[in-house]
Amino acid sequence: MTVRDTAITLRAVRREYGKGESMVSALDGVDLVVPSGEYLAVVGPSGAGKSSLLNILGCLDQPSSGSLEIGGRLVSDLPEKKVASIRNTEIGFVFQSFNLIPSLTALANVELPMVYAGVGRIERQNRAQAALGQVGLRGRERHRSNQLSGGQQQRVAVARAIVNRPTFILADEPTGNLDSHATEDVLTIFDELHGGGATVIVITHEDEVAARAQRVIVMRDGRIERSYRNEKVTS
Amino acid sequence: MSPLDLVAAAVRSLRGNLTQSILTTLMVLIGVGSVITLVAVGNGTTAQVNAQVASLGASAIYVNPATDDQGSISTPLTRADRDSLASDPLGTAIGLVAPIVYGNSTASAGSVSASPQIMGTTPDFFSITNAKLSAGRFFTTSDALTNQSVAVIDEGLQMALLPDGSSAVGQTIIVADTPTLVIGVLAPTAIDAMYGMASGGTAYEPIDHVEAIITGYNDLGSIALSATSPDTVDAAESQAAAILAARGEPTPYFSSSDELRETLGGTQESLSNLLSSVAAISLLVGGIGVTNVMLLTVRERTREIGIRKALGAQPISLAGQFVLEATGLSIIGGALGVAGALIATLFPVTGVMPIVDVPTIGLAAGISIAIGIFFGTYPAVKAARMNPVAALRVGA
Repeated sequence: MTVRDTAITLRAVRREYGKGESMVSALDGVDLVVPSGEYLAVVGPSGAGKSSLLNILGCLDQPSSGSLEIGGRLVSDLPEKKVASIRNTEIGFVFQSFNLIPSLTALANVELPMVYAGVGRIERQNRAQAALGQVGLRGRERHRSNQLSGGQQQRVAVARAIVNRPTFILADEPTGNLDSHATEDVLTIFDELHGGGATVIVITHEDEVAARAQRVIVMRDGRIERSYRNEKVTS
Repeated sequence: MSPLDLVAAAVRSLRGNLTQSILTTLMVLIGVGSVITLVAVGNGTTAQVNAQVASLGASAIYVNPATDDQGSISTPLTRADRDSLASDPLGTAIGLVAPIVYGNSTASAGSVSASPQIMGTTPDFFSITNAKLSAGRFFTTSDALTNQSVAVIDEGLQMALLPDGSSAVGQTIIVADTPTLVIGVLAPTAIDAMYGMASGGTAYEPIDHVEAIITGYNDLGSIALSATSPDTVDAAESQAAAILAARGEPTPYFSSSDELRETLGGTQESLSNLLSSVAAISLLVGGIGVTNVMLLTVRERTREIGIRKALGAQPISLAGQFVLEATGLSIIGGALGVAGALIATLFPVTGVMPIVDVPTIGLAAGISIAIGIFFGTYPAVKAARMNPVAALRVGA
């Protein structure tokens, strides 16, 4: 596997909080390689280190030791300005609680990553409208988050995650706040994105969500306990 | 993030957080508006006092006789002193000179009587003191020469003798048992306006007449003289003192409208300083208000900051957005404050017409922008440095 084929590489990543006797080890030497185009699910009980892993993968937090490579670039120890740029261009976030900015319309929320990427206004609007169309929200561009259902809000969040054509999509419990119908809608969109060649990483505690992924890693006590492939899922 | 996008983001945020935006704007508006209005009221009061003092005769000087330690007159002033002051070639800065005698008597009009002060002087006195008439005319040299019993009275005496408010001009009143024709009524002076008129009022009559019927031909009460210009008041005082000293007189006590102006000016300055201090405090409070609202905004929008950071916002973009928001609100508040103050100062405040000066507007507007940048920077830096994980956790 070449560097170009690898979306993410984690080597011996540790994340510790606190000092001395009160120190808590959230990640205890995690090694993980995610090939480009893979659909990966991370599962595990509460306190297993899923959120800490997500924060490291999303460049929202720095590992205490070990290294992180995204698209072949070593991210660990980069200055905040560069890390912000990586978050903007390489990662598409989808959060459990949608995390839309309530004062902005659906279109403006989707445009936001492109604003920070310096994309021009016209191109921004065209791409944002196309992304909203891709997730089935054409005609909802001017709606604010309080005018949308939970499922629709999460679809806006997915549109926002994909609009900058990131290296991978990082979803944290994306269906945790959705009913079964909306869950199916969102998972179908992930299937479609994966089918189109996108790398998708979903952190979940729901078996039906993990079942959609090609590969599942199970975490416990800050380590990857085991990893298995869902044989029925094809790329 | 382009500057245009930064501005658009700031505008969108301000519109999205309308209550905070309005509150912040209001604080700056009140701060800037009160600075301009209060300073304008101070300016107006100063102008009013100056105008009133000027109405007294900008260059009037009273020479009062020297007194001993007990306050008794040690060396009275005489007509010869008056003549020396008027004619001595040393007195280059001295203009007109008018002798004054003071007497007290009863005055009556029909059944109404009063106890005015009687002031005997020459027509020059009215020029020296820049006296103004509300009705009638001053007495002249010919009135004095004919020994005609005429009087110019002030409005205090007119009110005392004619409580029905009718004019005393043309009426004959009895002063010191002598029928006296009232030929003019003086308009109130700044001193009257400031301290109220002397009870019983004052009647001004030709000096010879007053000496004949009331005081007798004795010493003068004081001598009024004018400096040749408002700039030579001090010189005229020095020359008068020198002329009198050459006559062997001890240094008399001088009082002038300049002193009154200085006294009133000092009070006025204190008032202006007080108003400026209140205004400055209100601007400071406005500034602290902006900081407070911006800090609250940062706290309320912590999650939003986390989202923006997760989406790749550069620290400088976030900081820039918050600084822009604070600056924008300060500019809007400042502009509205200036507009509000300009409207407010079109109307008199407790009888004083405020005078707006352009430097104050510039200063207040400049300070409001500075407040925006200065007090907006801390919350902005705080927002930019926020840990995205911690920020995203807020309210989750």
